[in-house]
Amino acid sequence: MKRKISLLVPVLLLTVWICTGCWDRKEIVDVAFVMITTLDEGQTPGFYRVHAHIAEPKRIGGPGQSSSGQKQKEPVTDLVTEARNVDEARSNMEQMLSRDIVSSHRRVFLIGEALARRGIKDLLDHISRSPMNRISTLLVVAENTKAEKLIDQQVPLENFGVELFRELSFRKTHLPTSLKDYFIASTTPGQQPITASFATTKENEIVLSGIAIFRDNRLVGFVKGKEAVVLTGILGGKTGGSITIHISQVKGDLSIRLDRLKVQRKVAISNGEPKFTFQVKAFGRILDNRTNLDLSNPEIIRKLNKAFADEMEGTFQSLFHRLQKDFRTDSYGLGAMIYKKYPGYWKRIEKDWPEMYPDQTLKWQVSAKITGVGSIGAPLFIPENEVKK
Amino acid sequence: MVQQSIRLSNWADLEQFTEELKRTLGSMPDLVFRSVGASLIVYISGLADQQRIEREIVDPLSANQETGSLFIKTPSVQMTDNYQQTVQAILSGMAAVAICGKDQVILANVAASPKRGVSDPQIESSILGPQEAFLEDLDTNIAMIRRITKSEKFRMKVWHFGSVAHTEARLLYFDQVAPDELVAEISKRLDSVHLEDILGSNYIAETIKDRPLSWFPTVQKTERPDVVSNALMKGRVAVIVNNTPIVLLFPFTFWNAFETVEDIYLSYSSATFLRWIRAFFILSALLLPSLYVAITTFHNEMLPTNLLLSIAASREASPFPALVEALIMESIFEAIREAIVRMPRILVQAVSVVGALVIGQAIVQAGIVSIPMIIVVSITGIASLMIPHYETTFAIRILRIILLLMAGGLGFFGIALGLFFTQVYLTGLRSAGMPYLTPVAPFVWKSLKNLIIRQPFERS
Repeated sequence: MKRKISLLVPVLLLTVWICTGCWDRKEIVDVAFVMITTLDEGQTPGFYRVHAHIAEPKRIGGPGQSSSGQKQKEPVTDLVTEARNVDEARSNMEQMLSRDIVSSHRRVFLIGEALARRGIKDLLDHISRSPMNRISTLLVVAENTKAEKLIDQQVPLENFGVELFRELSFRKTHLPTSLKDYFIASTTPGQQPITASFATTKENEIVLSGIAIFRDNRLVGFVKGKEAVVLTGILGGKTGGSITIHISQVKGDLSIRLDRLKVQRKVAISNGEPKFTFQVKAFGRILDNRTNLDLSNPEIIRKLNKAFADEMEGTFQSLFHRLQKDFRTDSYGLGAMIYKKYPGYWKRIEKDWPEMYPDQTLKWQVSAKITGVGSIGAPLFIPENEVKK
Repeated sequence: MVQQSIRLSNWADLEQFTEELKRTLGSMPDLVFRSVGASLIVYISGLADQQRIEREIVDPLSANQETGSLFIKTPSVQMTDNYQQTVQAILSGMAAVAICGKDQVILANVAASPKRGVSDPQIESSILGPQEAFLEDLDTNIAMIRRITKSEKFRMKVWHFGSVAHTEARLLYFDQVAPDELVAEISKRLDSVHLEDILGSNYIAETIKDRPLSWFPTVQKTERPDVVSNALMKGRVAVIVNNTPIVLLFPFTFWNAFETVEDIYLSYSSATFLRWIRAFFILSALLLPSLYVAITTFHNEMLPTNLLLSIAASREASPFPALVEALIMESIFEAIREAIVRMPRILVQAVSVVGALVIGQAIVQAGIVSIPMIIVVSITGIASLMIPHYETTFAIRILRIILLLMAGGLGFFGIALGLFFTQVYLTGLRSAGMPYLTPVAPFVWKSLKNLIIRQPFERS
């Protein structure tokens, strides 16, 4: 009996291996990796224009073979097709390729502005449903241009263009707007999703231009510049923006590099109305002093802190003015704050929130702290007697 | 076997004795018959020390022929009247002294067969430990062990096997330190050995070990007396066989295969560090090719994109699927490994250059095998050379190939299946009654502690 069992085990294993094994086996050389997919409005109305960049390992040349000094073209093949929906586009592309498409390494989904304004509802299910796709794919918007133009540009320093989008989102804002974040934001009551947006400069270089604001899966506008920095900051991301402040009666101004925003937000219901209070502490470093102030003097720093805080408060006000009045979109999640703290109350006002939202007033208590001034106090080139202490 | 008695009462008997011997052993040129007066000395010239015979036997006998009080000076003697025993003694190198008129033959132990001097260990080397290895001679080996463990608890049980080779085997243990059941069990197994020709300790090992058909070794073989002493002091038993420098140790667990003797000659942090590195590399020796094949063909989402594209670029040139590449390179590596062991020492340098550089380089440039595969196989090869216990390497190598096939067919699931079956098998394996995966499988925290971190020795 023991002998029979001990013969049975290898036979079973062998059967499993021969009959059922290998069905998932895909040799690397039979597979095409999609690096990035872009979506635009198609030439035919109602159609999408889909580009896919397929990586070409042969042109990468494998390890140890460096480029011949000249800037080489990105080692990808560009496939383009027009289709009614994304899955049809995929099927069209399969018929143009000698290998099977594998989208598990696609990390960026780029959508053109026109298409985003029309609405991206129909695109989202495909991305999350197929098991090959990653929900950590970044969703980004191309501002003021068609997405396909954006990926045509040569990208500095990286092998693939997709790296630029990813690294910009991760390293510069720390608020990578992946699909997962988008889905979380769009399903949280009282919050609307945001994504990063990219644009081209006049010199045809790709730049991270701001944050795209979505409402009900439609693009409504962009937040740029200082406001984008601040929005990233209060959402918990990394800021790196440059804030310019000046003190009255002092010639010139200073630039503060904004390091961090510590936000404590409170919501209270009084008289049936929500009241929002934000306590923000801004931290920054002065790395450019265009006045003749001596920054090693704590008095001056105190004045600068005040100017810093005022400037921040002004920026917050203008940010929320834009969000509330211009876009009428609750991107920060004020509604979500109410929902989390007062679910009963939220249930009652949920339907009316989009109208209530633009009229909300927020109380800001901003304090600022300049944590460092670099290695020197006053600018080194100003003679001693002109330095304002 | 006829239990013949020897009669030596007169000259005719002596003649008959000589004739019997010549008939039994053949008239061989190294069978020497030396007459001294009324005494006959019989010995085999290669096995017995002739100078000692001259000095200890012939001189006293010839000096005292007249006086009649005959004696010999050899310290170790036996008296017998059994013919078979006499023949065995002569064949073992003793000198048989037959004195006319005495009713027993004296067997004088003047054996001095050719043997090697104590040399360095060949297989198990250590950097900081003693550099002694066992010889083929049983007595010398026992002496080496005794010298290290000068304990009064040291006990030996003797067996003789085979009617042709007459090999002696002894069971060594420390009384009251080794468990009685263990000693009884091994003794019982040795009793039941009925082999005729024992040419080495492996014959006995195969016969008395648990599950002789298992790929995993269930008995430890060592050539070092310090390993044996250490084992004996810990309560294990040793079986030592004549003419083999390899001593068998019972019981043997899976984890013993990954301990080196160096562990006790290093400080606890160094020994622990080495243990961890060894454990990690042995795991990779088993799993690395399978993981590589599984990941690149089934689960390429797991690799970072840049690495994946690098691998894809290297794989473009190669026509074979990853599994076939792996099998090709594995077989080439195993062939090189075995060839280096078997070839004459002088050629090792040259052939290893050919093997490693030329074959490796040429294969990649010809586009038969991709570079990442070469890397994987090299690391695996080096890792499998790290296994201290020689026999376990075979089990690991065979398992590696099987896991490779499973990985090629079923990906991670195949590796999991293979490992699962191996696990189940190992848990059920026993060595001299002790479960193979002690102290992990029957969980013994004290021993497990020592396995994970080699505990610092107690300070009094």
